[in-house]
Amino acid sequence: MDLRDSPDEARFRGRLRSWLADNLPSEPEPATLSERWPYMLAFQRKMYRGGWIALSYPEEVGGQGLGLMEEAILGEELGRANAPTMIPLGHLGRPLLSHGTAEQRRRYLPPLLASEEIWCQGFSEPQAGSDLAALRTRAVLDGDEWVLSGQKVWTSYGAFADYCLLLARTDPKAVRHRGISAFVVPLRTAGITVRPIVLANGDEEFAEIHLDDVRIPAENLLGKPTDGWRIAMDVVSYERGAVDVGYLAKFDRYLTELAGLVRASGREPDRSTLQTLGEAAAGLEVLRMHCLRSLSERVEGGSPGAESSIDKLLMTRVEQTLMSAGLELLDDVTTPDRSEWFDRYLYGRAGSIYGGSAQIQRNILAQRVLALPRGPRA
Amino acid sequence: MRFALSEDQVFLQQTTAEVAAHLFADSAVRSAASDGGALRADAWKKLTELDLVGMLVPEDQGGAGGSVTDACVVAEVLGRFIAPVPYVATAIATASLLRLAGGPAESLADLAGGTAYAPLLDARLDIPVAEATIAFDWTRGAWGVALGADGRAAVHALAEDAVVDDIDPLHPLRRVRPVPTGAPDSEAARRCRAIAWTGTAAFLTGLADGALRQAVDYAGQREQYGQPIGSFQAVQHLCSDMLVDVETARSVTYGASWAVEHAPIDEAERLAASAKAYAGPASLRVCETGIQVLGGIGVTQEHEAHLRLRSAHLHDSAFGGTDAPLALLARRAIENG
Repeated sequence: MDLRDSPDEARFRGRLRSWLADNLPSEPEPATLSERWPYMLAFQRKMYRGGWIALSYPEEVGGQGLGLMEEAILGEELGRANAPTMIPLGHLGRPLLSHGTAEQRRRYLPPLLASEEIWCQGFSEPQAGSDLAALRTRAVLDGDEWVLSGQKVWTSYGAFADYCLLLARTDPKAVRHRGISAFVVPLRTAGITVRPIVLANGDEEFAEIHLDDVRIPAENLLGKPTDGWRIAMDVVSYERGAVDVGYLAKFDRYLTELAGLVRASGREPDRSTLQTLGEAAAGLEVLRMHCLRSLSERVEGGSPGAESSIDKLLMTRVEQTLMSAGLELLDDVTTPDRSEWFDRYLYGRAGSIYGGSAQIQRNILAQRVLALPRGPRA
Repeated sequence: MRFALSEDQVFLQQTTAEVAAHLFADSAVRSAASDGGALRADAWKKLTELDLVGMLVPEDQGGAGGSVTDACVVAEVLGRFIAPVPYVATAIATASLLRLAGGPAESLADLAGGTAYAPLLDARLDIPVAEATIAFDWTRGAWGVALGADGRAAVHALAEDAVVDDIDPLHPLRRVRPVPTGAPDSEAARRCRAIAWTGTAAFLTGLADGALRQAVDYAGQREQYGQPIGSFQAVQHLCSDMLVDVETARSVTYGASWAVEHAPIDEAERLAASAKAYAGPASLRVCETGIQVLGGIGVTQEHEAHLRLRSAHLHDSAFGGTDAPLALLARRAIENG
């Protein structure tokens, strides 16, 4: 155990802290996604130009060639500085890095990491949510083109994206997950219709994507044919890490904000206030420590395994506890920020659904970590 | 930054587990509830010989000169086996107080040699501000240790009053004639409190880990409807929830175990408070769920699951329960908000 920064890490943290002090936007973060998107994008691009994004990606694809600990430090410092929310799509570069050809990496990764081209994740379908392997979108090779038909749904940031990492069935005869392939799909291709879906909090974060005989070049296949399931599992395992999706910093900022509101109320906090706020703060420390532990294990042992479902369930618990704390503490209906906190609370309900629902995470832990016998279903 | 046990610590964990498996077989733990302290005395002698009792005592005072993380490794394993010994109370909380808050050097050496010492708390098992009345995890003939009004750790011969008939027979509480104390305001006293919180969190994590292992074993063997109950999703999800609680409590506890020794006091307190406030309720959830998975046998005296839950409740309450650490965390957040 040594949670001190190494000399290199300390220098990195020092440089980052002073860069943030000089470069944070002076305007507060807008509440609605339509206004927040350009604000987030501008800051994310500025950070990229400063050399603070894609820290643990190799330099040849536009990353900084640093380690996972620098990613952890970034999360801590963004939280400490109350920096704008990061666009939680950084993990989408991972499958390109691990499964892409040299040409795909060269073409797609630099603009993805620079947030010049936005990517989304085309996994879920109307008939394939938790049972992702039941997906029906088809891809058929026709000469040197793949022809895609089907529908994707609940695609986060789909209406803002330029590219979609999309799963489709290429071998209808193979059993379920064995017949799936992954594709790089430019969303400006003929035959694609993207319709935004408004979330309960008013944000148009989701979209549905309709594919009607969409023709893309053969080389847009990612990995080998029928590698799709493995690639998808790789993506979701990164999506389960709070550092990978930049949520640690976001939760830290929310907690600071919440504590500030309690202070501004001028009331002496009672026992229930101290408990509610204390539990939210403790949760954040637990998440921070668990992330450090998971990242250390990844430094030693490569990509995250089935244990990443623990990270996801913890992240969800911390998020939902924090958002509920907001509602509980802002019980004065005239508090100006109350409805914004309610929207965050609503948004927090998605945490236990996306990236594999909380129930799917529990299945994974029971079967793959605890090695309990498989049930009648499987 | 590196968050992982060292090779030596993994070895310590394994050897402690071997010793504990030998000393604290399930049947031995069950009879310890009514053996008049026999197992407790034997085990303490053995743990003293192995230098585990003196883990936090410097080598030149007869101890092992180990780190708080080392001590937490031992405490966690002992928790896993529901060990009826005052490891957290004596080897972690009292040893830290004697060492960091200027207690008598000879007492520290004496503690490492196996003499009984108990931390003195108030009637709600919180760290006393002005007066202590309870010897926590008391052994017959133990000396009591508390912070004096001068801010230094003081050793008291205890004028014993009644035994408190409390929930956990494995970790006795003894009412003592009131001892005047100081409040834990100095940095050294705050660090001692943080170490006590962290050690307690480690024991609680171990208690939970034992419940998890037992539930998973049982669910894999016990058959109903012609198949192991562990193949049913309802039971699987109980076990997965236990796993999440155990692993996350472990993460914050070991993070805190490093911080209480090496980080500035504010950060040390923040992590230790988080560990105590999180591991207590997590351990209670896991020990309760463990009983649920065991079914009928889990609610009998023929099984040790109730002793595990009793020890979890007592340690959840110890050193200020969850109220004291949560209040600390909340007030810090408000100051910085």
